[in-house]
Amino acid sequence: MSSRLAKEYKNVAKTLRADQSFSHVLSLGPCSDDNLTHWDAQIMGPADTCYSGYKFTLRIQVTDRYPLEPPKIRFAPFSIPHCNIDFDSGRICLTLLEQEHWSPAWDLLHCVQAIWLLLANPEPDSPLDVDLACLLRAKDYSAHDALVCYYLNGGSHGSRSN
Amino acid sequence: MVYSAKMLNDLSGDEDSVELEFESDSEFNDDEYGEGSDTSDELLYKNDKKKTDYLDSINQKESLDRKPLENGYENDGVPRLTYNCLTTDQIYDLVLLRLDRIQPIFDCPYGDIIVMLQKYGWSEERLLEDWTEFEDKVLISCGLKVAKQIGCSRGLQNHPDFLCHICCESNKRKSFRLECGHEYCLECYQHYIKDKLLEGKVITCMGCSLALKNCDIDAIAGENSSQVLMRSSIKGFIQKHSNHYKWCPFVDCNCVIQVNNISTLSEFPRFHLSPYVVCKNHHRFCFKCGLESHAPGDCQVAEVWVKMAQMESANLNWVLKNTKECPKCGVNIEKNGGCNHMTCQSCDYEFCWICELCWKGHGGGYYECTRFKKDENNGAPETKNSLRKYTFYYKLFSEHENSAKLDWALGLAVEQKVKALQENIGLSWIETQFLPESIRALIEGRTTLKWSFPVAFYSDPSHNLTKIFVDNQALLVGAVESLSQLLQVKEPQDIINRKLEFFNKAKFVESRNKALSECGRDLLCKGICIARTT
Repeated sequence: MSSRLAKEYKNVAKTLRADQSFSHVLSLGPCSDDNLTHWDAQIMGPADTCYSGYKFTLRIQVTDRYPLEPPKIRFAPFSIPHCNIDFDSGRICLTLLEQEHWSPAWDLLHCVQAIWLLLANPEPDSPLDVDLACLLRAKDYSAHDALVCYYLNGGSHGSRSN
Repeated sequence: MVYSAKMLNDLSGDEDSVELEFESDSEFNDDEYGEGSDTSDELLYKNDKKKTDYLDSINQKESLDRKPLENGYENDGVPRLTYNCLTTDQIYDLVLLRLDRIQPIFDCPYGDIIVMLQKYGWSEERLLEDWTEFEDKVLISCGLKVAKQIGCSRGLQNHPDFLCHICCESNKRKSFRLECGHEYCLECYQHYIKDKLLEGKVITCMGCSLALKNCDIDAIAGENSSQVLMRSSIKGFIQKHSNHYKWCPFVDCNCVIQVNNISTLSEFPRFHLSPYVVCKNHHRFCFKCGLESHAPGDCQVAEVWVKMAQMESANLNWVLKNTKECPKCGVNIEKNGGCNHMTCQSCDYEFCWICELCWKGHGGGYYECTRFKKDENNGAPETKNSLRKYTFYYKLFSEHENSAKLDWALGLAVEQKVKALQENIGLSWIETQFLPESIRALIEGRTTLKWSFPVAFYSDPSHNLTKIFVDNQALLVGAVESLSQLLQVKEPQDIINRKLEFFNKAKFVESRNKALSECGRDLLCKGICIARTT
């Protein structure tokens, strides 16, 4: 387990430096060097979405059974309004992160990438935030984006971590 | 015993009765029997003039499916279920038998077809439909074909020094890979598979969607591992098709009942009957609500009663279940056998466990203690009185529930006795069957008795029929207690000498059981017993 995480740590640093297609991942690494089970990540909101220009923090916790078990990943609480993310807790609804659909071949960078893609491709059919999902389902994108903006700019205790 | 032999016969002999095209079979039945189909065979087919071609085959099927009737009273113009009792392994074995037939259509190895069936929820029909149209797509979606051939062979590999990408450890000697080229060490694969076996879904390569076949799973995780996966998968199938299949609700029983003509299920409530099925271990339960046999009550009575019991008396249950003080000397007595005739070990006082009165009063075969006596003191508020009434019946219900459990344990002891009889006295197996049969009669009698108390509780006490019902109840109590007492006899020779007594008492319990059940059904049909949530 630890050798896997150590290797991922090394690879991630290399990939982020070399691969331009990961430029939206500002950082990904363990919180401290002597404990590889808690990681933090910072990602930029995808361009051409209402999240563009905002930074988001992900908190990653890896269990003893990793990589057989998926990592537990959340956004910082009260930081991101999204129909598949619980605003108060930062919990993410993403099938990839469920035991049933997880594969040990994926690594933490895959997960962060998948979450980043989720920001641009919301799934209103399995929502955690029902209000935003309803707006998306009604195809009222301007209302959706306006509500997201309101939250991102500090409405309802939002964007505390920005 | 005749029963299980019959079931075996069904399994092996008549392939149509244990259809594997589960879904299509049910549709077929539904169509044939029509909506709200009537009950007797003549009526069943009277309207089906168009389908006379099918008539013969169905008739034949019906007769092959037909189970021996327990008491016959399910026969007089009321619906009847035809069903099979299976285990998950048997269901899987039947799948394998079917494979022989459908393999030529697919022209693939057996392992591939199993993966496809698993993916298609064991629905042969859906799979074949897709297969005939887009064979290649099915193969790819089931993970049986790689999109791009790269010339890797499937199987276990040996290396001097292998670096696994999952655990990132080198020096691995054994690994496994599929045609996709994704290769991981054996330990990682073993951990991965172990987690997935109980999910029952197709297990894929960790790096892509290529499927692991049963032989691969056995090669990686050890023999019989795929069997575990198949069992989980079949379990998932049963769960999904719970209108056709139900697990036996009894503890540690792994039987599955498959009902062939589910359209008749809707017919039962009209008659205030319940669709009882009996599994191979002689557990009788209701296919509709999944509870144990709750005759003479119907599902409504059982449901309301159980709900009430959960609400009002979760702990009452415990208080009543455990010990009682001897009414005479006050010593604590634990009931460890099924009989309600108690003899205090310290003062030799004989009393009835239920009413705690002297046993002598019970002598004439008449059991006063199952009658609820209205409180003479009418000054008590209404609610208190109704709670008292409920407590009274609940107490009886739980007494008999407890006794039934003890009888079940007694039944296991009887098995030992039967063995002893066969070995010591040299009796043949058939000659000792009166013992398990009496136990069965006893348990069924007690279950009926138990569920008769809710019926009594919800019945209008002033009605004459209710009084008759209570009389019937008392008679069954007498019959059950007397049989229960007889079953306490331990001496083998004594048992043999009293064989006739066993036989008579068991038959008496059975006939009283039937009478009480019918009487209870009468109460329900005539609207005298109405289960309501308060």
